[in-house]
Amino acid sequence: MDPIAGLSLGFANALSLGNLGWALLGCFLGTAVGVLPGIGPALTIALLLPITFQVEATGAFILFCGVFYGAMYGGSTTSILLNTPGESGSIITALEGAKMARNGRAGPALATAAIGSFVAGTIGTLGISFLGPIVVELALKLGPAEYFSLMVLCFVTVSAVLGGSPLRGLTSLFFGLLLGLVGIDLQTGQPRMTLGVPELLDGVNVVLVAVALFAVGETLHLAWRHVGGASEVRPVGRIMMSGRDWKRSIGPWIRGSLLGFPFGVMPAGGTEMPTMLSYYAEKKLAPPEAQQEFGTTGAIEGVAGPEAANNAAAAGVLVPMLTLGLPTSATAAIMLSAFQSYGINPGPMLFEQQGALVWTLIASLYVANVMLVVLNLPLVGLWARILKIPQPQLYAGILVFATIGTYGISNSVTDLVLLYAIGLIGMFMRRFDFPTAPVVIGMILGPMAEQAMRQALTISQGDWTTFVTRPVSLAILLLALAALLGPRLYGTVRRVRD
Amino acid sequence: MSGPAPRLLHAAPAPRPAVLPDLWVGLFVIALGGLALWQAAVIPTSPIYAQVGPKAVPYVVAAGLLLLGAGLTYVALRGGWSYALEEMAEAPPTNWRAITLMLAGLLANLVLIGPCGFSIAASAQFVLVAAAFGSRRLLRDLVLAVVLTLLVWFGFVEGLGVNIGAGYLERLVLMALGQEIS
Amino acid sequence: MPDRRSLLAAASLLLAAGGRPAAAQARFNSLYMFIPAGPGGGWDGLGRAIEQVARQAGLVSTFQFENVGGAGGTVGLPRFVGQRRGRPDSLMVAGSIMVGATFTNRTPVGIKDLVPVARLTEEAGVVVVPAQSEIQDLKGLLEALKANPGGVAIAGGSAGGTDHITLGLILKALGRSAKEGSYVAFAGGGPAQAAILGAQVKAGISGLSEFAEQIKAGRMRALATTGAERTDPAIPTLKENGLDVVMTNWRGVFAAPGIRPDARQKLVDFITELHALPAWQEMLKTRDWADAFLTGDAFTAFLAEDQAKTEAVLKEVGLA
Repeated sequence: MDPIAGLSLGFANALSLGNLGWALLGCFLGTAVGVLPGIGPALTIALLLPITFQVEATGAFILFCGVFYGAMYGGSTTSILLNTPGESGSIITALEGAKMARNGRAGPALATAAIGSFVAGTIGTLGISFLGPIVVELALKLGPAEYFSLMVLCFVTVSAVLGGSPLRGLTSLFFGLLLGLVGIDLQTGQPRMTLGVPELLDGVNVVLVAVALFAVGETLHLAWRHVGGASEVRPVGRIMMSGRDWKRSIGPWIRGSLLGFPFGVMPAGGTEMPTMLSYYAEKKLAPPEAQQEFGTTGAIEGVAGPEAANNAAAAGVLVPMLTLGLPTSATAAIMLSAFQSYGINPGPMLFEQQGALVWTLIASLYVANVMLVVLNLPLVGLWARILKIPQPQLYAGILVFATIGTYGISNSVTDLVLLYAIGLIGMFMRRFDFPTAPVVIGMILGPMAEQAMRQALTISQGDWTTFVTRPVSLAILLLALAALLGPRLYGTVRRVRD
Repeated sequence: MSGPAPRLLHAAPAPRPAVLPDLWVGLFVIALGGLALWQAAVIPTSPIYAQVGPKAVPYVVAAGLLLLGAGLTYVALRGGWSYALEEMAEAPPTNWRAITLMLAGLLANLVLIGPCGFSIAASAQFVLVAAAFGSRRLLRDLVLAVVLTLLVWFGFVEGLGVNIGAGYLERLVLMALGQEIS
Repeated sequence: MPDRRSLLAAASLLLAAGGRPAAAQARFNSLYMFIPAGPGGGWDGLGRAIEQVARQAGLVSTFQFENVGGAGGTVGLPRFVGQRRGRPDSLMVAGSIMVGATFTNRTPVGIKDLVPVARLTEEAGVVVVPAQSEIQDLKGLLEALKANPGGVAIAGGSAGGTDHITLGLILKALGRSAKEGSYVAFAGGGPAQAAILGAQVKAGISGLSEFAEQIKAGRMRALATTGAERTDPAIPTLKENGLDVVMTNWRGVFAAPGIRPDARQKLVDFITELHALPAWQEMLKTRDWADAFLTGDAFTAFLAEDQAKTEAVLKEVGLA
């Protein structure tokens, strides 16, 4: 079945009333769990798995895809409004998004995230329909050596969030690297940095740390510096994006999508790396007047780009699952087991054996995407009004919210202690002007880079030249070098010319 | 980071830079590096790796933290950095009442969530945190908190089938609804 | 929740005291099921499958679940042992992963502190090479391994896990040491599969279900499975190839320590009855689980052997 014929068959199925209902339910559920920190689409779908015993396959998968796409939308909403990222892919969105919201631009931030998600979802879904198999074959050529080089490239992006003082910024980064080391070492099975606490053997959850630093730390800092009685009212501002907002968003949406999709397809890519790269790229590409908004009043480019990258990567994750039966994320792994419980074997043969189902699923991704933007845009005004809740209740609510997400799943008081302790550290970091974003970036990239490096070295039997003798790896390393030195060289050249 | 002495900061206004709090930060980072070094040293050596073992990266991170901590301490001794921060210049004095209530809220949650269940613990936290931010309508906050947390609890248990520990309050409501307690 | 617990305990005590002889139909008014892993995983799946079948058949009227995940079950294990000691109405799901984890994490509480009830399912592992590999059969791989274990990079799950132990057992059977292997650990099945498909590594070891589709599609070549008997009629076992290695990823249920022998027997009877139900056989089929029912002394003996060989490999690679 060629893509066009497949898609038309798929749309015919997906647009039936029953399937539209499943898509709607999925979008709604997905948005709800996306909003909650700690509860992601993977867990939701796992908990919904029993319905596979009662519902026919098409309906169930449309539901799951709705949850998957919906969670991506929901994750950005709380990132922007409450500085509480719901998923690891939305952490970068919080950087500029929360600053925009604090400066009365919550509406445009939410809108650019929603429309950006739509643009990225559409580009990603188009990618699934037409490019899927080719991209996967290319992605399989990447081994641990290439992944390590990619992460080196991503480390360059840290410079975009280091803030005024490299000394303090790097301290934050190293604190993140330290947190990332906690747990059992994948390559040798040895426990590291656990202080003998068994709960730490599985490591520290990055979303927990992001919520602790961004939301709990912020709240504590506010209380510390709170002036009794005088409660500042946050401006809500205009809801719609202005013409200028649109103009500033379109480029980042497209760039973010094009960056995100291939990362999603890569078996060890994930959604975090492209959001970092997109943030870095947008900060460097923004015009000077917009650059001043980065890190201060919040730049719309810093929301539009990463959010698009996140959603396109999420769509990309489905490609190796559908074309090769490769689960490259937790969500994809759960969806695979759902396929199996229907006796359908996802894998290289899926498109041939289950063409109707797969194309219906892909068509329903388009449907879910349209549904989500239609549902979310009118809600932007409503969401933004959350900021009108009086400060005491708003912050009390945020803390309860952070608590549920953390405690709800693990049932572990240790996790709560960790949440509050890191929150306290976050409070002091605010007080002493340490940026918090490098902590999270270090935590995500550090372990990935270390494992990739050691995997590559095991494969090469300890030969370090593997990183420069493999052409793709070398190319990525050169790109990283250019990204690191490029701006500085450019500056020097310009100064000399002036 | 370790507790600085903010009162000292405000006792010595404007031009004289407050060195002490910044020094604490530098020392805290050194201590963190020391902790990392110790934890890296106790990682059992494993015979199964090529070139880079489980201890290498922890040592690098520990060394980095020690160096950065030394750098911060040096800067602190030279006058520190936080006096120059815009925010510190116009910051109001520490609101001890607020921060105490706030920490009490967090602590209440930690202590109560095991024995009393989610709703009671989270409600206590909600009321205390709202009070920290200057809310004076305790009763309204309490009602709000109970309703909110119960809604969340039922959302979890009924909607997702996740057990987040039924406490006294949840069971009371279940009983009022005439449901069997399982 | 002390009062509910005591209520539960009282109820079950009443049942146990006034109950008929254990050999008769085993019924529980309420059963507490402890899952030492998060919701949605394999152990959770087994626990909920037991609930579904037992409730439909009227063997148990209500189930109470508790999930305490982390570190291969070793976070939840001490909690179960401590809090449910002597309770005749409590079951815990566990499996081979916990056997390894108790050694690697050096936990003071181990499987030995549990009362074995029954093994229910197992999954054999499979040794594969990329389709384009020059290694054609198991003999080729074994020769390469025997000549230079370090030169044959093998992908699998986390270090110290079932896949890694299988490799260790193979190396030992070849007269080599487990620590000589060049084992590349990947987090999760996807990245490991990708590394094999892309021929980044020479071979891979994992659960058969993870690789089954790639094998069927001809993108990976299956050399051998690791069970005692063939799982897939087309793939020989290691044993058939003259290698005395049997390693499976099994799952079963355990009771709390300190329960009376008759209480244990009652739980064994319950699981035996459950296993005999057509609904359970149906469940095994839909979930694609291999039946590995084993109980009583046979299960205890199996456990002892499983622990011994796991520990031996983990000692060699410096993990126990």
